[in-house]
Amino acid sequence: MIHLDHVTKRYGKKFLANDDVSLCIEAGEIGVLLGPNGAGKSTLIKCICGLLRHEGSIELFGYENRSKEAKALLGYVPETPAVYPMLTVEEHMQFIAKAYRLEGWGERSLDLLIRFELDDKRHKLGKELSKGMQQKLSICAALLPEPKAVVFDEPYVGLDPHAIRELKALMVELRDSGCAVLVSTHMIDTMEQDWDTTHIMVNGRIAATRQRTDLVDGERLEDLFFSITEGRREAKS
Amino acid sequence: MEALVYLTATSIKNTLNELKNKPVLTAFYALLIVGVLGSATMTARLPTGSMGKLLPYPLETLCAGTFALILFMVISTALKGLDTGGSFFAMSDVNLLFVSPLSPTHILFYGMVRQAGMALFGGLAILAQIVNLQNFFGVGWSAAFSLFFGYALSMVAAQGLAVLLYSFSHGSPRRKMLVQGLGAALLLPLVVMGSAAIMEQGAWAVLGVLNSTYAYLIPIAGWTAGGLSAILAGRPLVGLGLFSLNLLLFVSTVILLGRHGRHYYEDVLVATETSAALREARKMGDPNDPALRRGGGIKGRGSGVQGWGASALMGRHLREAMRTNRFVVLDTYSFTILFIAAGMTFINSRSVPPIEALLFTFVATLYMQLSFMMVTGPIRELTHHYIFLIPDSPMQKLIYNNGFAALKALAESVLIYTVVGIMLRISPITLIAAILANTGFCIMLLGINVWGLRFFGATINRGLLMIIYLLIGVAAILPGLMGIMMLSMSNPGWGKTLVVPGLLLTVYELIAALLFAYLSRDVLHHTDLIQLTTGKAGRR
Repeated sequence: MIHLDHVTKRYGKKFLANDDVSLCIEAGEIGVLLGPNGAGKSTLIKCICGLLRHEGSIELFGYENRSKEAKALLGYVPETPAVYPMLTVEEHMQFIAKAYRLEGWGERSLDLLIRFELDDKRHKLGKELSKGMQQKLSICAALLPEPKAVVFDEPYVGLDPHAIRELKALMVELRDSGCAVLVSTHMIDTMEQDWDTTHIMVNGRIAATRQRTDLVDGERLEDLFFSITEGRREAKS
Repeated sequence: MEALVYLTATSIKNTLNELKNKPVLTAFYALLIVGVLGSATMTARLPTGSMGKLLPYPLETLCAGTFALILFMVISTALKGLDTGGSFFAMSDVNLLFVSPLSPTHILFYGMVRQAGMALFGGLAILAQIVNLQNFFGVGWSAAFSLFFGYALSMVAAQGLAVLLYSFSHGSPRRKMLVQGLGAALLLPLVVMGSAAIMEQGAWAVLGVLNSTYAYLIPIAGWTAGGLSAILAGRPLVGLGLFSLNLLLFVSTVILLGRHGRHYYEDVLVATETSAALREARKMGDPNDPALRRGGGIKGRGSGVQGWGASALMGRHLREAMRTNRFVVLDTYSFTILFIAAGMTFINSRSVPPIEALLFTFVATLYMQLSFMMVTGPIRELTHHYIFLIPDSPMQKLIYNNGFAALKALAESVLIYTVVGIMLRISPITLIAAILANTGFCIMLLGINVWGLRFFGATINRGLLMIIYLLIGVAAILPGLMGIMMLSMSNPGWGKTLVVPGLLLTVYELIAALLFAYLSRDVLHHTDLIQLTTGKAGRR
């Protein structure tokens, strides 16, 4: 599971990007992180992935997030895909296999590449891929080590309909296999079907956390989001 | 570590393989190698002792120049480091390496070794300058190689320093000020000694200060210049010892950051993200270019865009320039050209008459402006859709789009030739002629810039574009220059002040500019939205 306990991230003295955030994504759960632009979602994700220093603690399945053990369990799909320009698709997978010390990874790699229609692009260099293909490769690379916790930051941007369908199916498979999945997205409707818990961030804080079971009849994730974010704005004014 | 070795080796292998499919890039590397080898052959054939007479203190000048140049680069890197950290990782490293279970120390070592490789590659340009090094400073291959390695090591050490500084200051204004204060305190004695020496003994005395023991003790720049000086003086061991201090700084950085290795990721993340966003925005012609958002927020100087219809384009350029540059029309490029032009003038003024020195500077300035202007400024506007959609005549839109660049060229010419004129003590009328000829040349370049789109289409490699425009620029000015030179030969009096040739050249350039403008009058109707590629963009 992904466990955040009183996480605060400051830039300099004045700017508070994340303010005392606590949340938990259990194993076998899809957590959605929602919030308007500038709410602090990407910063929080970078903290979880050990890319930013922070106050408070973040643990992945009981390991401190910057430890080797935690990293071996984590998959990260960044907001902007960036691949190595001079490595082919296949070499990216090989590199990940070496970096994560994976054995017998070939079949899984091929499966992922086929699912995301990259199998015929195995010998293309990273720089020859379109943005969407880079995003697909980024997803394949993150999932190759069979992580126990996966963090997706705006994973649907740039993907074609086939890849969106595959990714949604993969998220469900990951959940069903006991993986903790955290997805940050603005495309609320893409998560409407499969979410378990949603955390709505406003101004660096968790403004609300809801379970799917908390929804009243006919209420959608989008309705919940607007009731929290715009309801607060209306209350303020 | 095996993964990092695999990553490096495979990237190098693929880069070499790719050369087979990139004739322009292969030709560029071939030219570089031919240039270096050609220089070597020429240098080997030069009679011993015939060179190095252009300057009174060639070796001291070389070491002082090295010191000044590297100090400038170290200060820039350090200041940038204080704000955003080191920038020797790519976003792919952040996304794939930083989150992997690989050792942060190994990753840091990989990043720095790659940076060293890039610095060595960049330093190859120094080897290509062997003939100039021989001409001006009377030094040969050993000096060129020493300079090459010294430069590469200093650039690596500077990046390490940038990360260390960011790691230490960590966004704290007080710590930043402390670092800046310490840096200033380190350089203050040099400024005081230099000023005193110039006042007492004249300008050349500054060489003594820049070659003093104190200067050589200053980290990175001093160690490199001191090492070079020692090697030139026949003390290679001392030289290598001083060079290796840069290496020591690099290794210490790796060890120090490696000890706190879990935390250095943030120290390189901001710079990496910023430079990646900048590269992407520039490549895509993004109107929200982060370069324009530097420093955050609107700072003074009013707001709003002047102009109506096509003239709003010029208004927008002006507003952006007011936000981006302290001196509006003068930017970093302007001051870089000024710095180089002043340096050339200083060196040439010791060996040739003022008018000849002015001519040398004039030609060099034209060359630099040609390189800087070709793929920047007005052509970038054509990467946005607005200029295509504004309901005005294409010619009007092009004129207003280029108006700001013409104004910038005039301001740069005034700045450069005022400084050069003071240095050479040349009559104001000659300087006005130089300013007009220089501005005219830039306006002609602007005409060529747009006209070229008719032939090269909307998607072209930036490097290739520069080479093509360079050739067109030279070809366009050559008939005028030749004609004026022939006229000057039959009128020997013209050469004394260069006023008449300068004015004639201006007239020629403006006529050529008008011709190119006329030829490109409908270019906006005939070209697609431009996509400048850097060679790194994908071919699908």
